[in-house]
Amino acid sequence: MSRALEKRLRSELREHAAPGEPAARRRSWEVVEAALAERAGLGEVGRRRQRPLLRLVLVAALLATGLAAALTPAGAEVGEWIEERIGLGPEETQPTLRGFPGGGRLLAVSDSGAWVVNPGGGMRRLGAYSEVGWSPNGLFVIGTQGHRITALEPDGEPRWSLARPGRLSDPAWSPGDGFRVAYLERARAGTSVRVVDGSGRFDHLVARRAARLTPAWRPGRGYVLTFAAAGSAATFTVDADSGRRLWSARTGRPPVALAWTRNGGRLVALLPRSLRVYGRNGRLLGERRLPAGRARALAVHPAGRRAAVAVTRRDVSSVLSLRLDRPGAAPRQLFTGSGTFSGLAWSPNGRRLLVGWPEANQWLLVGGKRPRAFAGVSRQLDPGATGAGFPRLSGWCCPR
Amino acid sequence: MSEDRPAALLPAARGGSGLLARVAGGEARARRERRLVRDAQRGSAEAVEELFRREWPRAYRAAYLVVHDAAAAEDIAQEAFLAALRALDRFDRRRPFGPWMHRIVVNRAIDVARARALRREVDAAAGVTEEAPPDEPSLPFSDQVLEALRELGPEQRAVVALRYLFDYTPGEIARALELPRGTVNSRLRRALDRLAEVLGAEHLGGPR
Repeated sequence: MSRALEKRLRSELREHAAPGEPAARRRSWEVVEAALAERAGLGEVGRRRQRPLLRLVLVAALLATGLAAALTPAGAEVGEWIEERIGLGPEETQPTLRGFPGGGRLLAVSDSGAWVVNPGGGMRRLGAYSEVGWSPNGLFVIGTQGHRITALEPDGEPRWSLARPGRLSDPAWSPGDGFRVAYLERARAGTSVRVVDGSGRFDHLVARRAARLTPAWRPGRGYVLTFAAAGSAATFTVDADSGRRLWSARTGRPPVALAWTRNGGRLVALLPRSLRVYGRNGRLLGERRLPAGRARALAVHPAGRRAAVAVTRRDVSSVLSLRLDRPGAAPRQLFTGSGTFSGLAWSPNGRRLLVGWPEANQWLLVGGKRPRAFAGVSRQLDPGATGAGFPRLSGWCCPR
Repeated sequence: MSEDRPAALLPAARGGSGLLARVAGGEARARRERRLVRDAQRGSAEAVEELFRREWPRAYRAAYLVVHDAAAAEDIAQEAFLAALRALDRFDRRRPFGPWMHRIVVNRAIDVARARALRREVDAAAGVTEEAPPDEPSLPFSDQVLEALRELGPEQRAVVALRYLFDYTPGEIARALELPRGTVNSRLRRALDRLAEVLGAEHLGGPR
C-alpha cells in the first residue's frame, strides 16, 4: 500500500467533482426545495389527511341527531343524506352494473377512487388511486396516487408501496412474467420514466424528459419500454433495466397514445390526426390518416390485427376500427355519438369493445348483435358524487 | 425503511467526538452542524440549504464512486437527502447528521450496483441522457482514477469512498456497513492493491 496512492485518492475524491455533479446538484436542489415547500405548507397532502377526522366528526354529529330524526320524514331525508355523503349506502354493497359480461374483470377510476367491476356487475372499491392498471394475468393491480405507487391485490390489500418526491402517474405493468412496473414521475425538472421490480424493489430512473403519456411495454424477451419524449414529436424505445436506447422514431406530432401488439411485433402510435404503425425495430410500416377531428383514445385488439380509435369532431365522436396488418386500409366506423368518448377497452376475448361516454353517463358495449348500454355509471362508481367526474376505463383483464 | 429512522445512526465515535471531529473537521464544525439541524427542525429553509450545500456533493460523489452512473448517483443522493429531510422532526441533534446520510447513501448505492450486476447491465443511461442539458464545466475526477475504480467491485468501491472521501477509519466503516472489521481491512487492501496495479507504479511514489 502506498501513502502516495492514498494521498492521491483523498485529493482526487474530495477536491474534484464527479461526472454530472453540477447539473445533478441543481436538479436535486429543485426537488428538495419543492419538498421543503410542501413540508412548510402541508398543502394538499395535509388537507387530505384531515379528511378522515372530518368524516368521523360528521358521522358522530349525524348519529347524535339521528335518533331524533329517525321517526320523521325529515329524519328519513337526513338518513339518505348521510348515506350519500359518507358512502355507506346500498350502492357499495349491492351488485351494480347488473349483467356486466363475464370473461374478465374491469378496472375503472372515478372521483372516489379505483374500482374493480366483476362479471355480473359486482363492484369493489380498491382505494384512493388516481390511475391504475392490471398485472399481466390480473393477479395484482398497480395504482398511483400523489407521490406514491402501490401494488395491491384485486381485493384492495396493498402488497408493497413506494414513495417518490415527485407526482407519480401512468403505471404500467410489464407483460409476460410481470417482473417490472413502469411509471412516470413529475418534478420541477420535468417528467421522468422510472421502473421498479414487480416486487417493489430496485426502483430506478430509466429516462428523463418524457412526455406525460403512459409508457408501453413491448411483449417478448427482455424488458423493453417505449415512451414519448417531452417537447419533441418522438418516441424512444429503451432497455428498461439499463436505460440503453434501442431505437427512436420521429412521429411528426406528439403521440396521444402508444401501445404494442400482444406479440410484440408492432408499435401503434396514435397521433392527433393519424395512426402510425412501426415494426419491432422501429421501421415505419404505415400511416393511416384519420377522418377530420382529433384522436382521443386507442385500444389495440388482443389479437393484434386491429385497433379501435376514438375521434372527436365538433362535439360528435366516432369509434373506428383500423387494420394494423394493413395500415393503409380504410377504417370501419363502429359507433357514433354526441360528445366525447373518454376511453376504450377490449374485452379479454376481443369480441366486444367498451366505450366510455361521459355525456350519456354510460358505458357502451359495442360488438354484440346490438350495442348495450350501462347507464348511470358515474353514480354507481362514485356514490354521493356531484356528477362532475366520469369514471375512466383502465383495463379489462383476464378470464379466470 | 431503516433510512427513515434517525435513531439508527452510526454508533457514536469513541470518546464522543472522534468520528465527527475527523469527518466534519472539528468540534466547532460539529456544533455548527447541530445548530443547522436544530434550525432546520424549526423550519429554516436557509439551514436546510446549508445542510444540502455541505452534504449533498459528497453524498453524490460517494454514490457515483459505487455505482459509476450519474443518473443513479443523482437519485441515490437525492433520496438520501429527502429521507433526512422527512425524518428531521424526529432527529436526535446529539447525533451527527453527516455520517447518517453517508451510511444511507453508500448502502443504497451498493444495493443498486448489485441489482444492476444481476441484470447484466452494461451500458447504463446511454442514449437516454442524450437529450439532457450539458453539465456545467467543472474540474472532474481524472479519467485515470475513474477507470481504475471501475476495476473494483461495488463493495470495494464503497470501502474506498468511505475511507478516502469521508475519512472514516476501518472500524467506523465496519459499523457503517455492518461488516466485520477484518472484512473491511481485506477489502481495502485488495482495492488498493488493484488500484496500484492499474494506476501504475510511476504514480505511486515511495513505499509506505
